Amino acid sequence: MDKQIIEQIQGAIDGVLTADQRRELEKTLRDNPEASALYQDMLSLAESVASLKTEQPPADLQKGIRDAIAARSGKTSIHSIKTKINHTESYMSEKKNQTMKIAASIAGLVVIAAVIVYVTIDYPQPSASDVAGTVGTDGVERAERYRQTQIQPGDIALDNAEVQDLLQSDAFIKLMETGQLQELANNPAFVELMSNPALFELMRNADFVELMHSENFEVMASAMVELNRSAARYELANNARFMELAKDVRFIELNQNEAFAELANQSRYVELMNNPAFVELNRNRAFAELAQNETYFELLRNQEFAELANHSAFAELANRADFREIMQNPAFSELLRDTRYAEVMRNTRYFELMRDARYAEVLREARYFEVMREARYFEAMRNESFREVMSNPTFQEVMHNERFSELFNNAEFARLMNNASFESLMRNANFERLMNSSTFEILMRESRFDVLQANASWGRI
Amino acid sequence: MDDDYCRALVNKCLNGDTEAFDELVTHHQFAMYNTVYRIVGEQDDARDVTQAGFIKAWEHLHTYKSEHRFFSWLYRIMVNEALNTVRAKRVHYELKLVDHHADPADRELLEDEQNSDLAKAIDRLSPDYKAVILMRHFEDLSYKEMAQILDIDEKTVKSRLYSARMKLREALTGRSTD
Repeated sequence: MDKQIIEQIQGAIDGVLTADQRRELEKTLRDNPEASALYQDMLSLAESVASLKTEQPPADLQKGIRDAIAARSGKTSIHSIKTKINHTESYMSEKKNQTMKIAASIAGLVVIAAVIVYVTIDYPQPSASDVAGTVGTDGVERAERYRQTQIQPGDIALDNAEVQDLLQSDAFIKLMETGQLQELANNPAFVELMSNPALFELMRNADFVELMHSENFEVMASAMVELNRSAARYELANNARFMELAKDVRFIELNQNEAFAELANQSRYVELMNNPAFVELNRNRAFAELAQNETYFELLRNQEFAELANHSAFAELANRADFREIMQNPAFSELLRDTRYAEVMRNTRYFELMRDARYAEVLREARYFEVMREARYFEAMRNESFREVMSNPTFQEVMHNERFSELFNNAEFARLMNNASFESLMRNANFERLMNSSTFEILMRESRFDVLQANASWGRI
Repeated sequence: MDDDYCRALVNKCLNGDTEAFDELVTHHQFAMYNTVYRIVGEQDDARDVTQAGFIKAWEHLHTYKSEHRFFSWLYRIMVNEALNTVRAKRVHYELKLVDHHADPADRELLEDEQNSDLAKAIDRLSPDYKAVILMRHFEDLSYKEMAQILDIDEKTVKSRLYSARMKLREALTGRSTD
């Protein structure tokens, strides 16, 4: 059937046709039996549906609504809060463009802080009789404890236009609806976080405020609200270093990653965040990019890596300018993203190596970083044999040799390392003795050794 | 209750007058409950969903824009609540307009109803189709209002309405439209 006829029939049933259209349809219905049958069926259907029996609402429906609203009004005073706000359409339209983004983006900490400050400091607390027998009794009593904090009501003024907007924001409404606000107010750890001067300091920071206006922060803030039940997260948020880190846009980006959010709830991560070096590492752009990778999160979940990251040698390493420079090397980031490298890092022997004072010493040497900047190093790191060799004390000794970096830059040597026999050679006690011998060292210092390295036959050894 | 009076009550609510909201509930509960009931199909669920819808409306009253009909705004909340409930449960609800009431007396009365087949046919519609049929034929809402309530365009409203009608037609008469 013609689509236009169908539309006309439906329009007639729904009473939206003009007089001309109705006349046109009447003519069609006279000439077209199929259209006429459809019209009659649809008309009959509409009449039948409209005549279906209706139900009376349950007698207790209205009472249930009334009680629920009264209970919610009493507990949270959302109603009284809103009545303080001069809520008119003109107000909303005038302020909307300017403030809605702000209201949405500071959905997490500031909203919660404002509300908690209000609930725990500014808002008149119910008397003991008011709360007797209610679920929140214990929470109210515990909140009392935290009212003796450094935060003053003036820290966040509820008559401030931005806070008023916040109170009308979807995020705030969501907190109220889901009962998260009450839950948060009753959570001593959260109240403690809210009483952390560092948090308020952070909120007064112009850079942080700017960040709060970004979409990234909105995502992060939402994640934090979602994760509010985590004790570890509170502990983390109370960490002054975390506060410092939270100002960094790269860290904000990191927070968008769900895997990171999951990780951040682990007590092990809190320990890591207590490590100044790790915090410093998190600020590194290359590291932030790396941290977007699933492999990295797997790595962070690894107990051994966590131990390593907490190790003083790692902290020292991570704080080094040259190491940070290496972190910015795209090749290094690429390597770290390589699942095989992640496997290496999960290898107990590698951790042993990383913890080894001699290896740490090697890492302090500029030439090692020169080596690390080379693409061949990464190729080598991907090589099983080389990784084995890395944990060999003899090889570590070799790495101290200034010729080593030169050797590394030799293409033939790279090929040699990729040879399975190389590992056997490195494990050979005689070769170890050879390398440790003064003769070999002298040999390596000889200019002729350069000639030897340049010789294609060298690689074939 | 005319639209202007509804708006006046909403303003009272925003000024903290819970009795004004009680009046809004009194006036709208019949239509809202029936709509929800036909979508979710269970009396207990219908009561809970309607109650939740009114509470949500109370909490979001400040978002209501006075240029729109309050009925449409409230109806949208209810339909969405009901549809979300149906989808969340992923259960094909029985509409229970006719023959599923626990009370035998009710059942007997309903079995006499001439439209039992129609009720069953509506029951078998998808929630989206059910919603447009209810909105159009029970509440006499315009395409525009339906579009606003369901947050879809009018063209989609018409399309869904037509498809729903054709499914009902086929179920009741065996006739289909190619």
